[in-house]
Amino acid sequence: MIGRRVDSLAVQVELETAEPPAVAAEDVRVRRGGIEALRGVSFTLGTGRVVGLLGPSGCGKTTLMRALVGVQARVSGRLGVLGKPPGVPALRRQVGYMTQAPSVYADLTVRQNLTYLAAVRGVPHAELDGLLAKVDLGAEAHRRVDALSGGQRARVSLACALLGEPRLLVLDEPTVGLDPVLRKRLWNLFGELAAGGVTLIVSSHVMDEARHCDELLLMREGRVLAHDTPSALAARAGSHDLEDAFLALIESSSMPGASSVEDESPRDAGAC
Amino acid sequence: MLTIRQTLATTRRVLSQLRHDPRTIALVLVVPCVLMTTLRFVYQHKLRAFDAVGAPLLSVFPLATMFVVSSVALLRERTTGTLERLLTTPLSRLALLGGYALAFALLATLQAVLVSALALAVLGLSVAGPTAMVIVVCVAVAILGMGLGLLASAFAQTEFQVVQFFPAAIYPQMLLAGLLVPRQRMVGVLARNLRRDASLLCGGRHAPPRSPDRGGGGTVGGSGRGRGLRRRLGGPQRGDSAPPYRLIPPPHRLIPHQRERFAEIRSSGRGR
Repeated sequence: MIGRRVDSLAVQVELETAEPPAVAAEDVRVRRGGIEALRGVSFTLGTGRVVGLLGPSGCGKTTLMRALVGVQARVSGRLGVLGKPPGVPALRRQVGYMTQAPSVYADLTVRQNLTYLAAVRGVPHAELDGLLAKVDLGAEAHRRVDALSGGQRARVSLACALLGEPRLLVLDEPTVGLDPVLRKRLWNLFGELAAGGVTLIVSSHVMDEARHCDELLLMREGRVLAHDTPSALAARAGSHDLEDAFLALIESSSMPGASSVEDESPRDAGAC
Repeated sequence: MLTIRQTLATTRRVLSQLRHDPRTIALVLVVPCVLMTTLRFVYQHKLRAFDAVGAPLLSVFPLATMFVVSSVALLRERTTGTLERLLTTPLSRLALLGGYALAFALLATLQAVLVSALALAVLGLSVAGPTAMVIVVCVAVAILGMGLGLLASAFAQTEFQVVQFFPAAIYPQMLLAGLLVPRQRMVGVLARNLRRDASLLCGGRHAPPRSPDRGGGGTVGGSGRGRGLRRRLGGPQRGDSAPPYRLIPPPHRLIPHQRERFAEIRSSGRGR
């Protein structure tokens, strides 16, 4: 998966102009509760890629994801998902969405949750066993969700998003609360899905995970700060460590007068 | 076709959630029975009053229960993010609401059958209309309660708030439904405007007017019980020339001899 990285995003996007880009955003703005949660976001994402969406809490990651799946109100600007406006009925079979908090029915078993969503999405029930194995929940299929651990719940929620083989997966912090082994397995799964042509937009707080992505969208205060491959971003900040690179980029953006990003020392590693 | 399958899947899902919640089932089924039995002993020496109050009260239970159950259920769906996820799937809103309606209608039917059986067979309640109508009205009222619950949940952010809507949504139904004063005797504006909706609550008491030539007019015809009930309700007696259950116009619209006639009926009703 790391081998599939490209150096220039622009080239990659141009190569794929035959089919519509997975996401095309142009000056997307969202007002939420009197403040602008997104302040003019523009980017284009090619298909079959794992895109990391990173940034400090409250920078608009979730709002952007909600806009992509069509549940966010008051979205202005131009936003195209697989060549269509977000949320149209034709897209709903092609987009899988995992919310930040596990959005599953706690008073149902794992299997009942999946069975219901499979019926809603029109997915044959035969697929469920394979799906449960994919997220390593085969043994918990008949346990109630409220009896599961936080990490297991997150995986039930992920399995629900994976139902029906969507072409675009929007995953809001899918690996939070998972142990390193599982996290690695999931990132491998994401890589396999992307190799099969699925586009994944994955938000995360954990910088370690950024290196698994094909490209990164770094956000801050409702704007896209940088959109590049992990290696290019690291090179731009003059650092090999992605975490340092992010902090440098964020701090240089918040201090327009700062001349050198290298001078900035990491202050709060947990913030992003 | 898909909508029907989605509706049934939603019904099945809501019912399995209820099945996993024996406490709620117990509250829905047992509490009305206990209340009805208590009411019977409250009116130990006024069994006619028990008839008059008990029948309409039968339909208050499903109204209140379904309001609480459905408003909290949908609110939970919102706060846990499952609704947000469902909105990104091909599930139609109609199927979602239909699924909820069907599930709660089934629960309401179970409740109505249980409480009516207890009230009619064990506690000796007598109802003017056919017994099946009691069930039908209960189910209709349950769906009204569910509708009000779903409406209230749209205006509430938390479960705490939605319960505060209970007095606002349910008490008016109780006040205006003819539980305290038969609806025909309410002032014009109440009687006119609420004839269509709130009369659901009144069960057989406000059955549509029947022409006298269809035999007796009252739904129980010549049985002593029916007559007694009609007399208590202030309706015309058997043998009267006026058709039974005719809606009484507001006092200012009555011509003098009518005014006398209704005053007579009222005083005879009050005497009991």
